[in-house]
Amino acid sequence: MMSDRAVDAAVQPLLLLLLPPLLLGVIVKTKAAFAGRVGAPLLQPYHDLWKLLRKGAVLSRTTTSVFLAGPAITWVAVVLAGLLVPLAGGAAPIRFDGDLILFAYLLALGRFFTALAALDTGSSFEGMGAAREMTFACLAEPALFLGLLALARTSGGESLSDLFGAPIAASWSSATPTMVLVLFGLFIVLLVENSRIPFDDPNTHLELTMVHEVMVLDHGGPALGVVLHGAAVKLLVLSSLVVGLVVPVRVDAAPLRWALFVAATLAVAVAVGVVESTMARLRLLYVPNLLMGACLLTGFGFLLLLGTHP
Amino acid sequence: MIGALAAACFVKAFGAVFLGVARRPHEREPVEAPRTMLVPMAALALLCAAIGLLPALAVPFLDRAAATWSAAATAGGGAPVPLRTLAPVGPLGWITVLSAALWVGAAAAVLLLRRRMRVEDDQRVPTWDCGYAAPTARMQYSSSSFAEMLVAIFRWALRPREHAPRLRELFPKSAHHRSHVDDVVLDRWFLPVLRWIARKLLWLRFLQPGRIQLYILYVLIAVLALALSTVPVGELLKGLVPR
Repeated sequence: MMSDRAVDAAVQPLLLLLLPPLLLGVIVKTKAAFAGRVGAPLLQPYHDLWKLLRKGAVLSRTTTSVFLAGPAITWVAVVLAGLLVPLAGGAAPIRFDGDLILFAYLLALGRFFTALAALDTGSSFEGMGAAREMTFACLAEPALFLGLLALARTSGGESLSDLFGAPIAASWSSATPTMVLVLFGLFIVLLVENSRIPFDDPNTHLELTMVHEVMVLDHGGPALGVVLHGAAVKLLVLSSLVVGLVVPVRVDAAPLRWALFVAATLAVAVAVGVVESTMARLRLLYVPNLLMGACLLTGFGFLLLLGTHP
Repeated sequence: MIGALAAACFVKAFGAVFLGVARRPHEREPVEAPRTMLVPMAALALLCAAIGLLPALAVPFLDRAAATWSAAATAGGGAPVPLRTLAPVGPLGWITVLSAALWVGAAAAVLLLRRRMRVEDDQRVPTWDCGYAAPTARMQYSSSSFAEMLVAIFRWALRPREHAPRLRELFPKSAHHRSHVDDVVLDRWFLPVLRWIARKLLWLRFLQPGRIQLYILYVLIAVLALALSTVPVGELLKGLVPR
């Protein structure tokens, strides 16, 4: 009989690699349901990835080795960030005090290399996408940090595993307003970091409307597969933060806990699908306002704590 | 926010300098510097990267230096130095292990992807231009277009200056658009203040006539002043006063 920690440490990397495409499938299915269509099968993203990984390569004359290093390094950084997050309550495989800063900057590192790979093509469309992504990230980062800071204050811990661990349930009863504000803030961060509506529409293939997709216009075949899978992993990782907030119940039995986690994550995917079906993409000029709104939400959440949680 | 801004800044700098297509043909064919110039720079850069990425390896050296210094300070009768080791600064061991894992993993992934996506040079194609038939290198995103959105958001602090043509006629002639962002701290605060001080202190110029005899006199005065400052004036006065 393996110990619980060993089970967690084994399941987490597996889920981290295998679950993400299903989230994309669920989002697409939700949107189809809203539109009254049948929609693509739930497992379609897996087929797409498999197809891309087997394809041949097309490379631009302009590109250098940075072009392929971008997707590869981004993927590794995102997966490493995923290992820092306690997916199903419990404890993450890697944890130490202050790992939340490493978490935020691993995501930033991935973004850095994706943007460099975009600029490497010399395409003005991809330059535009890179500029937008880096700009939005500048505004999303304070929202993420203020949210994590508020959680660190309620839970008294300094690592992500402490933040989203057992004290979450207590925090909901002792600091309800803060938790609600942080939840909204983190959900907005989830949407912007994954370039979902209202920030960006991942379905459009009109170059001028896009943020993340336009950065990878020139990537094809296996490189595009790596990009898409990395983006899906990022979606799972950030969804798991939201899940960690809304599902404060901690079950001891490992199988039940992981099943609960998967169900909750799929529910977050449905929520993303609902947002995408009921909202239009924001005008680009209003995006910074919404992001500053997210910063204010998590910032106020933190301020509310100053009186009660010294 | 500072972290994300730094990332944006370095994407901009690296992208504008190294990536994409050259906007103009080189005036002279560039020549690589000789190896004696490259190797020292590479060594220094590698050491910088190593200290940042593998801090646990660098800390023992710094600790030893700190230990000798604090030992010397305590021996001299000074107060004991509280920080004798850098270990409490952060989880240096974790940072070292994880950054090593990150870069080894990244290198493996890059090699794998490059092997999988090998394309002969003559098989390469132009960058996708969205069907536009005649793109030129000048249409690339420049570093100022990359920063445009960020500059617009922080317009209240950065105060970019734009010289935009105003269109008045039905058939406007060719015009230029220029924009630039001054360094807020240096150009708007320090330089004006320093210039103001310089203007106000012009009258002190008579001290600098350019004659060496005068400068030697200054040195003499300074030395005399220093010597006098060691004289225990208070003691002398006490000695003068009769008991």
